[in-house]
Amino acid sequence: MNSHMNTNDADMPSEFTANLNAFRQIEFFSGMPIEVIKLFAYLCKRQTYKTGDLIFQQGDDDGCSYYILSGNTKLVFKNEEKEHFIREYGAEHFLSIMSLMSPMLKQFSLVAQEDTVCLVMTRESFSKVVDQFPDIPLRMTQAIGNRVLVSEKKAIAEFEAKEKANLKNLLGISLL
Amino acid sequence: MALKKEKDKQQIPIVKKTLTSWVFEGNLKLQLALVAVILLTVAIRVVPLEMQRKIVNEAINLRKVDLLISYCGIYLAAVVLASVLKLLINIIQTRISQRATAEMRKQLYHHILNMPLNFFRNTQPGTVVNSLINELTIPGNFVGMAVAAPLTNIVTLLAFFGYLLILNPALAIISFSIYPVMLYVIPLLQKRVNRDNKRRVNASRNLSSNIVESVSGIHEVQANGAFDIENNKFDTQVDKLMRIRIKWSIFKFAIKVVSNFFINLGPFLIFILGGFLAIKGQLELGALVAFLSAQEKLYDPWKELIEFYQVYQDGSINYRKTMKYFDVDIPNELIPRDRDIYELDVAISVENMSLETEEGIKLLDGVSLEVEPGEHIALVGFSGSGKSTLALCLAQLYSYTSGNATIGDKEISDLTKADITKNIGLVSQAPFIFDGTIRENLMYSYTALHGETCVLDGECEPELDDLVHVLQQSGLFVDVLRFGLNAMVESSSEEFVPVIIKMRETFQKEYGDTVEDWVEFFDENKFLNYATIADNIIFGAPVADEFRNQNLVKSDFFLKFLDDADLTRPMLSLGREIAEQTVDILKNIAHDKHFFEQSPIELEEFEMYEDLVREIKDKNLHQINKQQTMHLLELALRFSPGRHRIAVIPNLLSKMVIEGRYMFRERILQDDPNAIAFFRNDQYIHSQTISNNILFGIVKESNPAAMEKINQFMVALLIGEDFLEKMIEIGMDYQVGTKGNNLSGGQRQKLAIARTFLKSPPVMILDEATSALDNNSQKRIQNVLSRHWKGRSTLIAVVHRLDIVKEYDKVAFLKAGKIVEMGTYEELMAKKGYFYELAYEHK
Repeated sequence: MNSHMNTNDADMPSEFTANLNAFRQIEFFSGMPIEVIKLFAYLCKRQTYKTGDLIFQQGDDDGCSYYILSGNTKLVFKNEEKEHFIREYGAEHFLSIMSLMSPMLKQFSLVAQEDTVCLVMTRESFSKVVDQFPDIPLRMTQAIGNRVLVSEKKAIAEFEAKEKANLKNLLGISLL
Repeated sequence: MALKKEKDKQQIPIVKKTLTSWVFEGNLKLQLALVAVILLTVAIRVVPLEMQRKIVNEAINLRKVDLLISYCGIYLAAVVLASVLKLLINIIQTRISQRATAEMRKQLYHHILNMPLNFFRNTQPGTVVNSLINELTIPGNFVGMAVAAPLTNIVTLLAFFGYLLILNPALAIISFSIYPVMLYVIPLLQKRVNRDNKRRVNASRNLSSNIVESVSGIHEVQANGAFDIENNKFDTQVDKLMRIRIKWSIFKFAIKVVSNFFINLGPFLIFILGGFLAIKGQLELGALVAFLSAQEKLYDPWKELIEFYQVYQDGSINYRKTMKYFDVDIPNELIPRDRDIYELDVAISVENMSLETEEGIKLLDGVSLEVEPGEHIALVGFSGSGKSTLALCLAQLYSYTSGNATIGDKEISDLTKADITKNIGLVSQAPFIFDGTIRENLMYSYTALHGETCVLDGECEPELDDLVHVLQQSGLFVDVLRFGLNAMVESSSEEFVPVIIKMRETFQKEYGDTVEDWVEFFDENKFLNYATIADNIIFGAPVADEFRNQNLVKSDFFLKFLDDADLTRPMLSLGREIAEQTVDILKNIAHDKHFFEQSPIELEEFEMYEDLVREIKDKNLHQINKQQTMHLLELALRFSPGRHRIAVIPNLLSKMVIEGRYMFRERILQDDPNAIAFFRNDQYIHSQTISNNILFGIVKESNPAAMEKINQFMVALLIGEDFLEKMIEIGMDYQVGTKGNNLSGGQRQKLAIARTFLKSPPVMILDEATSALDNNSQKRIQNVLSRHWKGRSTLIAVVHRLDIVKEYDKVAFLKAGKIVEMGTYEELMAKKGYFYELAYEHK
């Protein structure tokens, strides 16, 4: 969209435009009509987190998915004994997309390791978009299915290579 | 009891009443008055006929002017009086007809609300709306006409016949001979009309169902591009209706034509026979005139009779079809006939209960269950296992088809709705929230139980403490507090102002430094990203109407100021960008209020801005007209860069706005110093929310942790100033919107739980009532249930989260409509059966 401002910073993209550019790079949105991606980019909210802030909490169903625009986060799992570090997620990671589709408890907590900015999409906004474009969940399910299959193949390869017994229990998830 | 009002009306259900029973029901006095007026009218209508005869025979023949004047005077008086009485008849008739229609609508609506839930699953809302609004109009008209039309017109016809019979029996009999023929022919035609009318009602009903279906499923239609399928379906139905309506109308007109034809034959017979008799000297000329005149006057009553006949036929069909459609047995009576409403001992016993659908599917299959008073039981299982069905059967919303289920030894299926309402509170997974305030919704079940009059009169109104208590128990308290803080204080509520100013001082002193990063303070040298451009320029609360937000673009003073401050052109440009961007994103989709939170355009303005964008597409800003300029400026003035992320405000423009702020202040102080109450640390700002007034600034919404902390500070402050309850009261006036759209799913559930807590029923049934809540909120509610309600209310809860099941006295695991395991949490875990497997899977 052309801006009509004749000023130096007139070409600075709006937050919406920046969101749109970010979403167009996400695998989950690939193949979706541009109208849908625009609506997501328009409805999501930018949230900022200081170092140490909790982005989401294990055991909660906050109904949100998170796209990390900048910063770095860590995924942790806490049980009665202690907190386990799982892995880091930096910019351009899109987390918890399944929370948009149905109530789902977060199995992990995500903590900002440095000042972090996320695009947050709520289940409510998502359902409003689905009302307009009912085939979105199907497309997303396909994308999730592909992702599960890819992960399963990796796990099988690892299992074949090392015959890890503890991996055995996890195999077969793509048969869901 | 709210249901008391229904008691008197609990005679014959409306769907069993005949149309004719409405004629006198509640209208007896009016109908009797009508009969009296009609008889008087008919008597007066004969007078002009006699006067005509006398004028010709006596006044004109005898050339007596005085007689002519007196007869004409009587004639005129009779005509005037007949007209006045006719008007009176119409007034009474309209009253009867409208009262009957209103009463039919009310009774049918009351009946519909009590109908079993499965009726609504197979019925389109459009059919119900159509039945209540359209189909009862003609039956109502019939009731209004039922006494008046036949009585007036038949008596008139008989009176005229009698009068003419006295004048000349042979001529009278011949001229009236056409009516028996008509009485034979017209019903034949009416049969065809009736047949087509029945088909018309069916076709209209199908058409309205189809419209409702395609509108409700518009997303599916558009997503699949199924326009041709839907259009063809609709077009076919419209064509069918058109064909039926053409036939229906043709036969209706045919009745009129036949009727007119026979009536026009009347004068012919009188001329030929009467003329012959007059020539022969066997009939006076005056009598011939009276005959001709009577023939003419017979036309109206006869026409009205035919119309009445048609209304009766159409009305009967509409009425019968409507009542037949809703004639479904209501399984439970509304209130007990010959006893008081039970206050039940709340032990629940279910024995071999089954629910089998008409297709033979067993949703529940031989379920047995014992629940002691005050005991809490959780129903768990996979979806489709029958746990919700069981809960809803106990709440009498579904009817079990075999077995027994009792509450306090009373069979649930034998209880009246009033017994159930008194003893049971139900919270469903997707509770319905009605348009209105939080307070109204909170009191919904309570008011239904105690009766509207009792609550409104203040006799059984709950205490504020009770309301606050249930808000706290359900966890809605914080949300309501936020609604209160985000409300504006009316200028009529000035008593709040000093307290809020005091809170502002305390807040700045105690938390000012802490919140500095999270709040944009009202600083006259800074551009406020979270305020609108209008607020940034005016930097105060408008006192004069001219400067209120909606009037700014109409103010010549303000427009001149924008020009002088060089703000007009860049703001037009910004307005254009906002309009284009919003229209680009939201075009071609069904509109929802949710989509307009990120844009200064409001839902109801969207079409206008869509047209505007199209109109100015190839134009430069200097080419757009005044109206378009005003709309674009309005958008720019409402734009808040922190909230509306679809456009960017260039640095230069934000600097120019601050410059403009000084210039505006200078000018307004010269022109009208009292027009604006400028933002001052010691004054209340009526154009801002309470929260913004306490902060003397606006919270930046982008950091959730900061919002949480600020809320905590606010609560501490409100408690310190003893203002917390007042704020909750203000928050309870928050409008929740249609179907509670202004609330989140979690807030809707919390509100539904709070309203059941307020009702405080002996039995609570929660059907996945906390599914949309976050972990902490669920735990809080579970804690409240375990600590506060255990032992007080019997609880049957359909639970989807197994970590809270531990708190229940008993757990029943359902599978394929059967309880396959039951026991305490520990027992079931030790058993290592279905429940153990499900719990393990959850873990």
